[in-house]
This record gives sequence, C-alpha cells and structure tokens, in this order.
Amino acid sequence: MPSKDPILSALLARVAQGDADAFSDLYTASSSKLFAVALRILRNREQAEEVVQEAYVKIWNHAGDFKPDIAAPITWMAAIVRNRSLDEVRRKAGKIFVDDGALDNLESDDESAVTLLERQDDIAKLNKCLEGLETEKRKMVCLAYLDGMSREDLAHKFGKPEGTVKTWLRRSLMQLKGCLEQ
Amino acid sequence: MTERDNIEELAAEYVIGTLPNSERAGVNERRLRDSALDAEIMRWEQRLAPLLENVTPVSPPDGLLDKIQSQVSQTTSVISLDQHRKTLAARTRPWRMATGAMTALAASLAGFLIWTGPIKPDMSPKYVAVIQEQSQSPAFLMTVDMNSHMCAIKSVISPPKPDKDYELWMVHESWKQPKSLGLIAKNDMELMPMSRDIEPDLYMNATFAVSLEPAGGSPTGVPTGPVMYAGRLVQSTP
Repeated sequence: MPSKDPILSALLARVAQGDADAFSDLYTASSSKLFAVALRILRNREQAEEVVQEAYVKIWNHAGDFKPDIAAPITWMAAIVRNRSLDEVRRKAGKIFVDDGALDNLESDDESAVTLLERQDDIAKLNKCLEGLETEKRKMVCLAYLDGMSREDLAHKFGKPEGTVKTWLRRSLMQLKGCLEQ
Repeated sequence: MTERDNIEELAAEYVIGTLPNSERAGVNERRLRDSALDAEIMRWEQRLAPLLENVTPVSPPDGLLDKIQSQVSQTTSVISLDQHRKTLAARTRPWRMATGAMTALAASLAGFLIWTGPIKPDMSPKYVAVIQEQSQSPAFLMTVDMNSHMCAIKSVISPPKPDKDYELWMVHESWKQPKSLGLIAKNDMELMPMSRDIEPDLYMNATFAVSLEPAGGSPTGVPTGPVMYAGRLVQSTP
C-alpha cells in the first residue's frame, strides 16, 4: 500500500546518501504541506516555522531510516512534524483551544473532508469509513487529528465530559480500523 | 482487555494526538525501546494520513530553507562520515575509499579509534562525534562508550591560552540549558564519566559543543564564552 510517491521516495533515498541538492528539491516539494500541517496544530507561524525547521534537520539526519515498504514518504515526514507539533501543544497544559479568526478558514469542517472524494483509493476509503461515524464523532476525529485539539478542547467545544470524549474517540478509531480492514 | 488491544488503543490515541502531556511523553520514551508499540504507531499514522489531504498547503516563510541548510551543514561531514563508514563496511575495505576532505577526517578518526582499544575489550558499541567549526577541519574527536558510560575527548587543535579552558557541553532540545560535561584536558586525552541517567537515545539526538571559558570553566554553569565548535554522535563500531 505505501510509497505512492516514487519521486519523494527517490529524493529521500538520495538525501540518505547526503545529497544536498536532493534535500533542497525535497524541501521544495514538501515544505508547504508540512508547514500547513504544523500551522493547523500550532496556530502560530513562528512556532510552526521552528517545528518545520527541526523536522527537516531530522529528515536530513534520519532519511536512511525511512522504509518505503512501511510508510509513504509524505506520511513519514508529516508524522515527524505532527509529533513535534503535538508535543508542543500538549506541553501547554490546560490551555483551552482559542478560535483564532485569522485561521478560521483552515479549520477542518466536515465539508472539506467529504468534498475530497475519490482522488486516491486510500483517501476515498478513509472518507467512506469516516462517513460511517456519527457526525459529532467524525468531527471530533478530524479536529483532534488535523487541528491538534485536546480532550479538554473537544469537551469544551462539544459540551461533553472529557471521559465521554475519550471513550468516543477510542471507539471511533477502532470502528475506523475495522472499516478500513474490510 | 488484552495487551495487544492496549497497545493498539494507546497508539491510536497517540497518533490522533489526544493523549495528555504526561502520557504522550511516556509514549515518546517507550516507543524507542518497544518495537511493538512503535510499529503500531506507524500503522495508525499510515491509516489516518489520508486525512492530511484536507490540509491546504501554506508556503513557509522565505529563508527557512537557508536556515535549515546552515543548521544541517554543521553536521554534514559527520553524517557523510557515517555514510562513508556504512559504505566501507559493506565493501569490507575499511578506510580505503576516503577521498578529498574525507581523507583527513577518516585518517584522524581511524587513528583515534586505534587508541580506544584499551577501553573497548568487549567491542561494545562506540559512538564518535567530530566536533568542528562549520565545514572546517575537525577540532575535537569524542568517543562515547555506552557500556562503561565513559567518554574520551581528544583535541586536534592547539591548546587554549593558560588563562582559558575549553569546556564541553551537551545540548538537547528537551533541556532548558546546556549541560556541562567538564573541561577538556589541555595536553592529553582524558576519559570522562558520562551521566548514567541519560538514555543512549538522548546522546544520539544531542549536539556536543565546545566553548572557550575562563580557566577552571564557566563560573555560571552555562557557556559564558563563545561556542566555537559543535558536532553530533555517530556510531563508529558495530
């Protein structure tokens, strides 16, 4: 299933050999996506810039660890960015998610998830499985994954206790997994 | 609930991002040594990644690539030395393929590794950092023995003036400030104990830096003089 992107895979293989030109091409091909991923979660351009900078240094140092048979290249790189971004937002414990008008157009709403449609098989399949979730649960999954909302943020937004949010997310994820494996 | 369910749910919640800070930090640590958990995390990353299609790309600020490249160039020769070592190991012709600038690095490193013989009778994994100025020749060579928790540092530049000392620091992103590993001996190689509390992975992700300090070392516990050299560890023995 993975490694849909032979161009990025080839660039990563060259980066693993210390090829600086390939690194520059890899940056050009992937940085606007990775920056957007960080920005969605962190909602702060400077922090997003720092995380993306760190992530590319890590990509340079660890490109040899990338395994094309396990992950698609963009998934591997995005995971580095998401993990650092999430570490950062979770560290600010107790911070209630604040709606930032300037970034409103970036927030996941259901529409964007649904209008994607069958551009790629796995996207279509995940969307189909997401549609199998109740609306609120689907929104929770998207807001957690894409916008980095904590249990507390989601409890606040949906007017549910945190325990309920936790249970709903776990069940939704397991339901998604079951659906994807069908 | 079985152990596997536990790992699966933990990985799922980690990847979706809703684990509270302390649990998240716990998973970050645990996945380094728990390959089942690590693999489960990667499976969830792969499952949910199509959602990223929803993220509209945003151009990063101009100049970010330059910043990244200058940060990366500081470690380039170390990284390519590591790559070089792998290539050599694959060809079982140690140290013969060195060319250009790599020759000097490889030669000094090889010499240094020979010296380490007495402290590695068991051939435990060794790690070496070439601590240098940006793209200049090496200034210090440091080897770390993970079994004995000792580090040896060798200066290959002239010693500082009598009223100055070089001090070795370890810098890690998760620390608020650098940690001093001690002063570098002026004329001889010195074995220094490393803290046993520090996980090997922390060493691998750390930067080692050398600053010029007043004789006796920094009076404040953080570098006060200029940070002159920096490098990172690479594994140098199997």
